[in-house]
Amino acid sequence: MSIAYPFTAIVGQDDMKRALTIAAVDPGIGGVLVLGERGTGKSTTIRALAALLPKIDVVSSCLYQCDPMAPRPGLCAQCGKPSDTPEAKSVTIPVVDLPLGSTEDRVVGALDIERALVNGEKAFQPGLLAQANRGFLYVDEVNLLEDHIVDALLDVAASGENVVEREGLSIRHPAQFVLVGSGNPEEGELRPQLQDRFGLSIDVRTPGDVPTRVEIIRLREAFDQDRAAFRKKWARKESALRRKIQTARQQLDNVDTPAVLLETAAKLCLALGTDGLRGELTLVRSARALAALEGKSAATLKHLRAMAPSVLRHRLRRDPLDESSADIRVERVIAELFQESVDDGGS
Amino acid sequence: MVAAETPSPWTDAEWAAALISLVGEAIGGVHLRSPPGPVRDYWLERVKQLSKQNPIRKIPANIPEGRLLGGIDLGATLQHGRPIAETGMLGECHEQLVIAAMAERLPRNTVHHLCTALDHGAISVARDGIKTETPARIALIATDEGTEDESAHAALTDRLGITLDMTALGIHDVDDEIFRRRHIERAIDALTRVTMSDKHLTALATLAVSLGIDSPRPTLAAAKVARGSAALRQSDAVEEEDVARALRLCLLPRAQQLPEMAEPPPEPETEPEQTDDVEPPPMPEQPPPDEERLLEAALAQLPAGLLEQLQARSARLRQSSTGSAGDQHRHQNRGRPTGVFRGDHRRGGRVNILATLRAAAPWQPLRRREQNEQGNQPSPRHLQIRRDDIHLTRFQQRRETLTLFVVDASGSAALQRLAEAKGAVELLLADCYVRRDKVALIAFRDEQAELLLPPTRSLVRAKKTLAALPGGGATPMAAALDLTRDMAEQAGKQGATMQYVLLTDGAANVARDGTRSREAGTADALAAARALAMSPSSGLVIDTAQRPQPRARELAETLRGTYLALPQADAQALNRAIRAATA
Repeated sequence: MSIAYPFTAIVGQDDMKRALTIAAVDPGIGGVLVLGERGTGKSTTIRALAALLPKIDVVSSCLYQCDPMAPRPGLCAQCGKPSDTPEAKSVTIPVVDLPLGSTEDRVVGALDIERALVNGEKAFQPGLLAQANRGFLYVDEVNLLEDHIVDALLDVAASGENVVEREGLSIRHPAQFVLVGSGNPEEGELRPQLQDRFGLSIDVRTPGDVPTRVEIIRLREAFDQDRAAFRKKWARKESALRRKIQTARQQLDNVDTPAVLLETAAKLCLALGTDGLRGELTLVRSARALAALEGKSAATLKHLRAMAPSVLRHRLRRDPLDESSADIRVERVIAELFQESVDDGGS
Repeated sequence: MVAAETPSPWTDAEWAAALISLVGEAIGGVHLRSPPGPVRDYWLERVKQLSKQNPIRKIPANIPEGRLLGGIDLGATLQHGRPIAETGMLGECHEQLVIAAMAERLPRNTVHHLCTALDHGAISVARDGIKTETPARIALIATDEGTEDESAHAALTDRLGITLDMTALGIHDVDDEIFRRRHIERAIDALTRVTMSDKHLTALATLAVSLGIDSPRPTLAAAKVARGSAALRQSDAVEEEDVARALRLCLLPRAQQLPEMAEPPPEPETEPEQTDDVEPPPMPEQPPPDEERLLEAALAQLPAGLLEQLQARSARLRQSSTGSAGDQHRHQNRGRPTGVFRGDHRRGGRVNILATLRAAAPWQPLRRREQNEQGNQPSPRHLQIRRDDIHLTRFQQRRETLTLFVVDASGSAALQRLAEAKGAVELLLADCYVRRDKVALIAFRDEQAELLLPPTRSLVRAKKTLAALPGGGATPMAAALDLTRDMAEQAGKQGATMQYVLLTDGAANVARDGTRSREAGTADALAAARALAMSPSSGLVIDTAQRPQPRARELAETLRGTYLALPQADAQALNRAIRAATA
């Protein structure tokens, strides 16, 4: 495994970094979609996240990283059995790469060929979805993913469970992961169903100003010259952010959600005409996650305001031709609404 | 000394050969635009000599994904009775120079895997029951034989630091050798000592911005090329000459715009004198005169007609960014698996191991007995698999649909109607989006019909192109219909079906030979329509005239298409009508 570029050393791209950090704090937010041109550091940032994530406790003998402290239902068949407290170990939150060109059997899991060939027995070999349980599943160039893989992903992402009924196997196991997709929108649109799955959507752009660019190049050159030393130099910042994420994960349940937040989220979605409840839920959840990350005890409208564009950008009523103005529409409605509710809150 | 005073075109090529041998992995590689021929062969020969790597492996454009990435080695797996992984070509070429032949023809997936290897120095494979990560740090020479309108995929060329265009070079341009292998070896030692001042780094970044290069990758490569160039000169510091070389090799060939040098912006010069400074000085935002001088010098060394070249190139880049070349292939190995069938794997296709095993399983006792009777002692642990057992996966790929919009932008199709037509097309585009169709756009006015947007799935681009469509002028209907027929035939060749939507008032007044005459124009238009009716396509004619005219209806009948009058209503109503007609 090559040494990853430090997350904290990435210049600019604050939206993308914040969205990924938020998803690490609350995996229930539903994934992050990062769209942008070439050379915006999409894939570098996401791979950098892998080196930053805190550790979680897992059942040591479990193929699916089940949580030893979680209630039994919802765990895999083995961990779900009533028994003594299972042996636990601590592992880094997995970030699993779903490479383009993966075959379906490796994504959802299939018959273990080795055991079939050697012992002639039928055994299940878990796929990428199993490895990604409780972690991240990253698809680079998500808009080029083959349709049948997308179908499999959609199904599992919706239910949080992977059901394999094939080759005489009948397996079901938990598969709850944060789906992270990146791509260049110029190369083809994302299927609407898949786009809807993502909780947050980010548009990344290359910084145009010279000083920022010089800074990017200076840091990247330093990294390329001596990767280990570079990481060491950034280690303190990295572990500070890691601790911040860890604390936020623990504090998340204690963050208050004032009624005005729920109300504003509902108003915002209504004004933009987004379909379904998912937008509101994600708005509130991400505002809470941001509050937790900042160490606050309650989510405020400020948090909601900060997250609203990423949450709503891709949820506007499907008008694929209005891509460029989606942001403007969101901003306009936010501006109108917040003018109003900030006044309400102040009085 | 190895440095040259006035670089001839070949001098840069020679430096590029030395640089790829020296810093190839760091800069990704070389995008080599050149037709096949002795000049290119000679250059590749130079790379071989300088990199001391012989032979340089070549990845063919049509390499199957399994071979590129690796996967299960079927023969060995069956022989040994346990899965045996086979390293793909990218893994085999770890820490080597590799040539990607005919890069302009590479399918999108191959491009993606090459990019992954260039970015991460490793590829992860998850196929056929195998999941591995293989180191694959490569430097790539992408040979690109594309003509004006095709080029290697932009995602790939963005990662190849040096761009070398040898299209205009003949064998007479080939000059003396500047470097020997020992120069490279000496430069490898020198490279770690080379320093580059902030002034020069800022110069490169500023130049990249002023040339309209958005991605930071080329600038990063330019910085590395400048260091490599200094190392090759056995100098410990990057000098202006190195920056100029990096500019020529890495940045200028990617220019999207000519820098504005007419008005030098007034900017206080903050010249950083020290090279090992603790605190970087505040960077000037505008190009200081240094950069301009460099750029001017570099521009002066380029052949005349640069502006035209730049324009042609940026048009080409815009088109090729969708990488249509790869989409044309019909893959036997792509799409949705719809089942398995017994077949011969040597004729291509993906072996379905599980189905194969299942087919072989029942026969095992029998085959062992057979072998025993023949006096062989078969191992009970080995499966016996015969050719008849091999099953392949069947894939089904949805037939692609291309929707072509042919928009009459002439003066007669009055301007406000053009706006309405645009609105209707936008709504239709939304439908195409739902169906995942490709769309293309032809507009015709004045002298000619023009393919404004080649087939693409990017509706954002379609919309942008449409919004920028000007109106006014005569109506070259025949030319438009001829172009439509060409498109239909092309689509047919690529296995797609095409439908077109023609928005016009039917008032043709330009003949095929360009003369302006209503009679000749109409006659030619009807002739073209008859020819188009024979092509594999289906059409819809939308009459945009203020009052529906018989001539558009006649045209629709000749085309054997559906006729619709644009009602005096909004685009929504029109869209409903179109949906009803095409349903």
